[in-house]
Amino acid sequence: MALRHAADDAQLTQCWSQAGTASIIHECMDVDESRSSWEKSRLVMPLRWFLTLLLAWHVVSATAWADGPEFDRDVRTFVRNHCLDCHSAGDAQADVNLERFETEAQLRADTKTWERVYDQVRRHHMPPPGSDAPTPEARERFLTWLGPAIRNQNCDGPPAVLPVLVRRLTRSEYQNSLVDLLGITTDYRERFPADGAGGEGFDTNAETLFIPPVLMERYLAVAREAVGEALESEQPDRVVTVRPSRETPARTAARETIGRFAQRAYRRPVEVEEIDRLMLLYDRSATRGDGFVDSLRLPLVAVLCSPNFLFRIENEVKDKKDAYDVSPHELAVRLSYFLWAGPPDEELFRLAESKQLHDPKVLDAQVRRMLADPRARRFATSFTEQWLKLRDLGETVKPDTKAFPEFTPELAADARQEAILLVEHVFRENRPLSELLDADYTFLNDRLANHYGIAGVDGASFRRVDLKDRRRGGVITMAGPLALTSYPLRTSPVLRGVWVLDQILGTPSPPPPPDVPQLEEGPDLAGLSLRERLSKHRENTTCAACHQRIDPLGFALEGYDAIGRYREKVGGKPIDVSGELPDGTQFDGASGLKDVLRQQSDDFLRSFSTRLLAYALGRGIENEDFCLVDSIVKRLRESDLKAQTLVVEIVTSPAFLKRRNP
Amino acid sequence: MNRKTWTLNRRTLLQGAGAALALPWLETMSWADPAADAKPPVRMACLFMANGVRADAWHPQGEGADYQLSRTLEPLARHRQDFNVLSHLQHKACRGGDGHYVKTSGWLTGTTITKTTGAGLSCNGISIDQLAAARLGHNTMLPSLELGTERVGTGIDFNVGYTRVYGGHVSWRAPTVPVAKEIDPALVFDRMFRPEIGRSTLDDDESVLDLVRHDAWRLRRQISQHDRRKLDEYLESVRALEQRIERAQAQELEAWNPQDQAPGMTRPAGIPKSHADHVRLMLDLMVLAFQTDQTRITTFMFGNSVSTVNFSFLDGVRGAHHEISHHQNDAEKLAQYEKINRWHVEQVAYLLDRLKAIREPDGQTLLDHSMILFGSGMRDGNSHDPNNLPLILAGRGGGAIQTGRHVVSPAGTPMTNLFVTMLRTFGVEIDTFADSTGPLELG
Repeated sequence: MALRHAADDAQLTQCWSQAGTASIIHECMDVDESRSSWEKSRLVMPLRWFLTLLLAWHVVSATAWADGPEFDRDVRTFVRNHCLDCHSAGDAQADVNLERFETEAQLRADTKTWERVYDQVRRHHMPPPGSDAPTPEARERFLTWLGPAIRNQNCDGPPAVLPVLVRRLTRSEYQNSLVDLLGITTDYRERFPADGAGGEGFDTNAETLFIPPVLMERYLAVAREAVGEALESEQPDRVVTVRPSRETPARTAARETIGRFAQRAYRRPVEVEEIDRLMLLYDRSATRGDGFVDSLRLPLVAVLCSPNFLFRIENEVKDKKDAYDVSPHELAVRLSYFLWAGPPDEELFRLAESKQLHDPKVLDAQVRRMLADPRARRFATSFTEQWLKLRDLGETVKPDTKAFPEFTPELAADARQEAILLVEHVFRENRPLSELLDADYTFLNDRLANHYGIAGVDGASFRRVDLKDRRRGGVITMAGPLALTSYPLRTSPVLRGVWVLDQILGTPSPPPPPDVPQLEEGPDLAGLSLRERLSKHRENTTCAACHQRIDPLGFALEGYDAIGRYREKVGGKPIDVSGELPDGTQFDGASGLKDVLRQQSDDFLRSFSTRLLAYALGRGIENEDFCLVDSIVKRLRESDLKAQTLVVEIVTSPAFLKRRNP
Repeated sequence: MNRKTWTLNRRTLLQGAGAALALPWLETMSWADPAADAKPPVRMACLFMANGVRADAWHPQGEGADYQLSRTLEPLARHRQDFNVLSHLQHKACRGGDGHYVKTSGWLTGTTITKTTGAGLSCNGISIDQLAAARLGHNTMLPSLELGTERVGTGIDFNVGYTRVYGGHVSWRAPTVPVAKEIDPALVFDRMFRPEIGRSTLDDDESVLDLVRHDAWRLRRQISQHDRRKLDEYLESVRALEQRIERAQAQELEAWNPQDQAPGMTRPAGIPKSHADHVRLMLDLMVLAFQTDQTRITTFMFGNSVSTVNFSFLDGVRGAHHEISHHQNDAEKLAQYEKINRWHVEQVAYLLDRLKAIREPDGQTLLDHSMILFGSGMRDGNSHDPNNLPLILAGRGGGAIQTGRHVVSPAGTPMTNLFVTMLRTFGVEIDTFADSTGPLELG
């Protein structure tokens, strides 16, 4: 296969620019040689599913798999009576069309949709108020049938291992890798465009990491600068591991130095041929008279621009149909970029060399060692900023500087740090995950403590502070998320409620349908309080289905202003922070909300486990992974929600230990 | 054909088949002969505004040359003879799906994006700027320049099930490859005038690139088929960098008006705190890029989709862009929305001032030789519809475009017809683009 040349590009781009129909798309695929057969297979997937379904249909009609009377009575009838009004082919609200499921087999083939249905019905979000409500018995029978049908399917078989795309380092991982390799201190991250995110919302997602030309320019420039910084520093020996001496000629010393550096940068043993080629660059400098150290520059720069460094390469074992173990060095890399957002250290490398790393006991011990290491802060930072979306705070989301002069960039950074330190603490000290949402301590410096009105915290450094009440403690009542989910000038119960559903519970609402007024305003609502306006809108059935879930969560947090300060009144009036969930649960304020979240911890645990799994694997979580998520949540419950259990369960899962050819 | 230029394109020649395939490029390079009495080249910029417009305040009265500017467009009055308002162009492919993302990634591609949070990500087309860059970008140091003010958003949009990558890019090199934009003016300035590829070490850089390209080819054999496309992306970027180095060596390629110093502009200190200052700086850099022929193709995103830029710095506006764009026909909100739209138009007017002030050797202005497209991917931010898109096209494209008019197309005319016209005016021979039905007559 030839590397595409520019003219191919033009041909390809012209083709794509004209592609509007399926037939042209296929022609473009032929032009586009670089597009893999795997990707092509994704395009024909629907056809394959269709054939599978067709086959399933035949099997179903001939065997005991035929739809039982329960399916007809408890499911099909329920769906017909309570769902199809809004979720049919003609009117698929929220993109859900249940009319297309005629048989049990069809239903079982799309667990992702039915997971959603199950959750919506279980939480009493669906059918929405105002529509024809099912009797409690009908709801119960529906759930009793559906639960096992979607949850236990295929979990007896071999665990799922899905193909993962080769992944380049994120700009944070790149920076951390430079720091570990070179011992530099300059932060080069902002020299690169920000990385987008995908999958479950993390930049570690392979599919959304690109290498546009500007990145290559910067890789080259930054590598030159960083190598220069290292070689000119006071401790260049970190990189220059062998120097010429009476016994060691310069070229031998260079070869040794470059070989060791490449091995660390490539995170695997290097081949003689690779060093030979790097030595050509050394020779190029040395023969024109550059000194020993100066002549190391070019080969070191080349190492840092090589795809062997910039990508986390995992070699394919050809012709394997089943999942197979990644190599020990590849596993070390998976581990270190998961828990340190950076390269493996010597101990991991040694364990890989001696092939012990796949041993579950060794893995368990390594997880605990790695989480105790200061580098775990990098994990906590990268994961937390994205899990809670705090990266946006002070960047694309900023409180108005005139209305809230107190909210300086420094305070925004403190607010982010508080959440990061809590996550780090919970993992490092193996605390229950529930403390992420509800803890009687937090991490503050003087500025943030002052913002919270908590006395007795002096100095700019963060420390653990025990809390006297539940106004603070847990991420939901931290200034960071509270400011992040406000408009520049005011709070928004809707944004806050949506954030809790999206980021904490993992149960997002569909977007409002087009042309429906956003809730907080509207032509006829002048003079009403925000709560009155919202309750007005909930009278509208279309709005109610989602806003019955969203609004109470947000109102519970109205006791905090747009920059997260506690308040008891708005405009001189006391704030009503009470709420009722669609299932009838009543609660009051932030503390009541924390109780509710504790009671409904299953959603949180599933969501949190899913997110961490996605972060670790660098891909989205698919239907096939639900069994793994289920088993992780089960183990978490058995271990009193201990955070390290979650990490150990992830890294000892086949999805983490193995790979599969696409 | 310029033989000297041709021979300097060493790397291309060395690549055998590649050189043969690159031939069609060179036909477009005839003007690049430094000895010829060259006409200034056409420049193209596409300026994306997030969140739509207040439709009634945008729409001008009347048609053709004898039309009345609308309230929102009034800041452009002093440039009246230098631009067209384009009405009733639409992006049919951007109708379905979601509120914002397809109207951003699809704005310059005219295609529907694949609904995904990551796996199988595709905009299913290529943007006009990148198509122009692929064909003619080799004429300048930078084939194209992608600018913005907001970094790509964190996470995915759980509510609609799209990755925010779609909301942060209007430029797409290939269906699966968005082009990252730069938001730091200092970095953009450095890229143009303090190239990080240091001039004294060009050969060194080439030797490094030779090595890493070899590495990539070696790896391609070890990794799976579906991993290869990421390595191919890498290889294409290595190639782009090599081309840039070649151009730096081949002075003749920069035949028009190459300058490695920025006339009248000092290096910006970084990202300004104020959004208004930030936008001005990016527009200044765009002018500079055109003036010095660093590139002839740029895109600029005033904001990402669902931009949350706080516009309270404008008198009478209280809140963030997206929040206000959902006006629900509330009079007060509409008034604020209009002010935000108008502010954007003022920035465009400023850009046109700058372009007009630069006189080129043929006596005409830089604006005369440019095509500046400004607009949004949706009409009304409250309803997100991609029909009758708010668009203006400024500049005469080197004389091909007759300006000073309100050009009203038959309802439902594809916006991609405009793209065909723009691409042709730029020098790209093309008959159709996405769902186009022919060129939009602007001559």
